Amino acid sequence: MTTKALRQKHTMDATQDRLEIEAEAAQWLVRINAPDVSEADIVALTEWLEASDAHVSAFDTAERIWQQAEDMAPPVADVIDIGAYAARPKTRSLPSRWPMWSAAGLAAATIAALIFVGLPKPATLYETQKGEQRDITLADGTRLHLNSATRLAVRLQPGARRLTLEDGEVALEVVHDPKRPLSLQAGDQTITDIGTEFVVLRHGGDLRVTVREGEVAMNSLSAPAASRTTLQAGQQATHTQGHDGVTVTSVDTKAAYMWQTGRAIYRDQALSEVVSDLNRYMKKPLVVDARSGQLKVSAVLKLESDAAIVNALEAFLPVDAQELPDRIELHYRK
Amino acid sequence: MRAEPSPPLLTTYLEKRTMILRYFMARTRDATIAEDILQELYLKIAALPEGYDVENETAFLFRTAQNIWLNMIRGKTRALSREGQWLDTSTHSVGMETVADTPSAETVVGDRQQVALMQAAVKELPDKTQRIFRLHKFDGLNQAEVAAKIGMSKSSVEKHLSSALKHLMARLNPRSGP
Repeated sequence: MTTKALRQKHTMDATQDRLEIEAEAAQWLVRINAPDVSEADIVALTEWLEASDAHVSAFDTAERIWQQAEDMAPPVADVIDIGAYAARPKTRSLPSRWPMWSAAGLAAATIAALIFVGLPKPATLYETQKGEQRDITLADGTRLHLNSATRLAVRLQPGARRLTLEDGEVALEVVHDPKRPLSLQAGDQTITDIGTEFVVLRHGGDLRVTVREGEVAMNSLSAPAASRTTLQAGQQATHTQGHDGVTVTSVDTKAAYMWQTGRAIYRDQALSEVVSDLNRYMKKPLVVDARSGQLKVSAVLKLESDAAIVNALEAFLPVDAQELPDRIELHYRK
Repeated sequence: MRAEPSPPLLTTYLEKRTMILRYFMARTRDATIAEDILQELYLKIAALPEGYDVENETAFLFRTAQNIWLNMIRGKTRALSREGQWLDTSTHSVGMETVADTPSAETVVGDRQQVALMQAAVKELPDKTQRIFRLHKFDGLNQAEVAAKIGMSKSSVEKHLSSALKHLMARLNPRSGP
């Protein structure tokens, strides 16, 4: 339908019932999604929307249903899995986005918003167990290296590549495609690739992004434009979930990639932080007492096994390990 | 190392900014969100490589802004809800009931039923309409590509698509009413 015809219908608005408004909303939605949408179309639709709340409401519905229809598209095999280092590669479809939503606690929402907006794109979830690492090559050529205890959801869509890091650590070698940008969401931050290699660690409430090559942008979800930070090769950004802003420092990026060689490196860090990080690998978690927790650690640790990690800590530091059924306690050596 | 926005797109952006802003103000009924979308649009075009080739600049800018908006309502609802902006707007404009923090089992079931309803509704479409709809929504062909593929005019494709959408709205949105 032409813009002119839609305008004429617009004038009859007062007497239209809901069905007619919905029909118009449907026509408008399809028109403005046309590749040749013109300024005249946009202006005419603006006027139509300005004319009445009922129009906006019908257009909301049209837009949501149009999106929902796209979400129903049969999943395409979008991943080539080149195998895992360790056993048990686990891939399953994400049943829905409910867990994320409920965890965050929606203050208020419309049922419609939950049903229509909350519907999942076909997504693939990659998980690694503690001590496991895994390499994945996506259909676009992008390579992902998952570290221990990591959960990463991948959605490849025609116009976008969306990754969500729920927990753990992933190193990415991204094949750049300006028409299909790659973004990785981690908590309240979005990291957008500008053609690059970078590694993202999300552990507890802390996020760390290290760029080895190229450039990435980070934005907070609450203020995407104002919060934009650009990271260059050799830079590392740290961020704490729920806080404003990121801290950017220059680093030796090798350290951030050390886990790929089965080792972890720490420089002058408190043992309590080191233990928190090591627990990403420990099958039986480490617990440290208050005094030992303050010890400073500078070390390269092999991550072969729980025993190897504990032995190394005992060798480096004045601590003794005590193994209990559910944990390993580190006590200050008297 | 970021390239400057390619001059023609930047020029078009400056020319069309007000027009697109007005659209999103009408669409979202919220000046702050509309401004955010335009900001984000600027950042997006600023990040494009030099000499990025765009056939129809106004359509490109509008479509990009439209995608920003759709991403906002899809994925970022949660974050925006902290500021209470989007949800307030949407509650206002959609005029539907609000729900509690955690979706109940009932709404999860409702979600699945909704998918089943949608599938059934698509099957009810007349053959030709259904084919066009599937090519566009499932195979990702744009309207012009669909038109070329099945040898039909672009305006006919548009008619089929809007009648498909109208049907889905009637089927899936029985609650909305006077």
